[in-house]
Amino acid sequence: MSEPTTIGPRLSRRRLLQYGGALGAAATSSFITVRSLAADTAEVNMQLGWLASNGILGEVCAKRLGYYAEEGVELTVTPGGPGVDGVASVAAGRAGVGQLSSSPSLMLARSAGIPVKAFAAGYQKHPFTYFSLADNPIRTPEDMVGKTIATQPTAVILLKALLALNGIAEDQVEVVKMGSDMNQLMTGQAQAVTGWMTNTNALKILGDDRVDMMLWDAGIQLYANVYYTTDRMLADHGDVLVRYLTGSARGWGYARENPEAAVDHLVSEYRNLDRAGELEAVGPVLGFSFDGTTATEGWAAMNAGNWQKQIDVYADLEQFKGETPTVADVMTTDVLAATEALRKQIG
Amino acid sequence: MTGRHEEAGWTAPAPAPAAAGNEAGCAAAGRGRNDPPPGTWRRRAPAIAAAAGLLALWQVIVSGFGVPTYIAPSPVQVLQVFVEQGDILWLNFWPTLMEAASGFLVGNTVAAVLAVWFVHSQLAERAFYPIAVFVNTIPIIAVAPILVLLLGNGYAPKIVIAALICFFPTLVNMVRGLKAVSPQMLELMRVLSASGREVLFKIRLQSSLPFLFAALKIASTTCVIGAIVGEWIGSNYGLGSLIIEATYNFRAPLLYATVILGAGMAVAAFTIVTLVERRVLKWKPPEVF
Repeated sequence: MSEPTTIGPRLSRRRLLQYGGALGAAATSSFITVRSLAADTAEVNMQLGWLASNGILGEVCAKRLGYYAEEGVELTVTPGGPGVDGVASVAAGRAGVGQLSSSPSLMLARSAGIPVKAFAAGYQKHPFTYFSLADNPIRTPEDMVGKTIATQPTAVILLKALLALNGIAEDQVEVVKMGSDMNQLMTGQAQAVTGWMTNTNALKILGDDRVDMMLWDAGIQLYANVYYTTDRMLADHGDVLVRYLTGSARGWGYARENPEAAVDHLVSEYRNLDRAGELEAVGPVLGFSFDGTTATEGWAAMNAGNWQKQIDVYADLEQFKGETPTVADVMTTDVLAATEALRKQIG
Repeated sequence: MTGRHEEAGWTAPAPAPAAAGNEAGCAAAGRGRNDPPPGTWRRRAPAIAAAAGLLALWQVIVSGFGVPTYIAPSPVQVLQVFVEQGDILWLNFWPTLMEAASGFLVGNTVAAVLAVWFVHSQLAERAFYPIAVFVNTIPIIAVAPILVLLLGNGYAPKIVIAALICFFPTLVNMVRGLKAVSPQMLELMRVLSASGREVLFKIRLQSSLPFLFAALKIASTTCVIGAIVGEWIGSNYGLGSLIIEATYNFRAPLLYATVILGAGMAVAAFTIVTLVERRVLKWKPPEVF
């Protein structure tokens, strides 16, 4: 996954307008969420929160190897892009399922009254990381005191959460904004920059004396590559979601067993991707997808306790403009439960 | 004739006289009516030399100061992308070209038709001109996600965005051009009992053409930008999509090559419009470009 910026976006005016437009569209138009093709085939549109990347490695494999076809699912993938996380598209019913880069977007959308709900988590740990250099390293949150941290505008809130969690006053750390580049660290303007651990090209630029402090390890535990859908889809087409997740699980299982072949599938499907870069990234991608949790609970597992903690962090920081959502609002384990046997074999 | 040649050369019906004597004259000896006039290369040489000089300077600075590739790749590295990853560039070139060209056609056609309507109906102008201005002020980057939501992820939203960008300059210029008719001329047409249609086709459209072409020149470059911005959201292919991919994956040479290809497309479109203008507007003195 190469997406370095959108993590926990605040609801901007524009985004609210987008959501509003989405709801309006949902109410008035005839967008089709799931279309039955044959008696036993459903067309599922998967909306991404970012461009097509290694975040859908398993889906691409499942599609190309016919796993979805065997489940009676015909999958199309719709990419998002900068400033477009796809929630509006899923909420409007244009896409049946969506994948979000980070879980906070989903909580914020729910709080804004958008009826979307997570049903699986692609990455068990969020790969968002604070990168520093060995001559002025940041290994723990305490190391940030007195330093300048460059982070994406949407991730400032995470830094605040991290500081609050560790009892560090906000004025003890200088926060500056950054885009997708790592220059502020390389030129010494900042002592840490942020990005995803799976973005191997960015890490290459930082060189060998890089010091990583992953947000997850520092105490803010978010999910990444969250699979979500609408309440209506869950109610009306739960069986399609189960079939979809079954296909995805098999695809990810294949990718885990055959990383190189999986990369070949990915770059054949999306020719703009760089094969060499993807081969380097596939290790970390699988590392975040499969860990101790998935070994016992299966691929894409997530738990309610962790969601509650995330809601609490955001509620404490007064990020919810609407009502604070409950765990039941933001996630369901129904689809996970229905696919448990297979996922456990793969995890 | 010879003295004015450089100014009138583009539309001069006769071949250049051999008496021109200099190398430009020799080069022009066999030229047809659409060939560049003599002196073209001499006129363009400074631009070419300046561009080459800047490229050389860029190369020297990048290699001399050891600028890392992710900050600024050297021209040679960018050129390598064209050679080694040419297939990817072309794969992404065609969708953008198609969207830009379609947007150009749609946007300008709608603008021209609206302009004709506005000129004939004050009511329509009063009702819709302000709305057209309003539409123009909406930042494309904000409206793009909504268009994608409404029109899906195919070519449609990109074409609409490119068309939206083309639309306004053409509308404003075309309305202005259709009205840029001298009252005496209209008076004369009235005396001659000309119909509204005759006034439109024989007088107004003619007078609007220089304005129209000025607008088309703007639109020819902005439609490419429109298509690229449209592709930032929800595309797998297209120069815009490649720009995002290259930016966020730190593939700087690919990014530069993509930008150059996009700029080349816009310049080519501009040149085509300019050439068409010279053919169509024979009575108008050629411009410097």
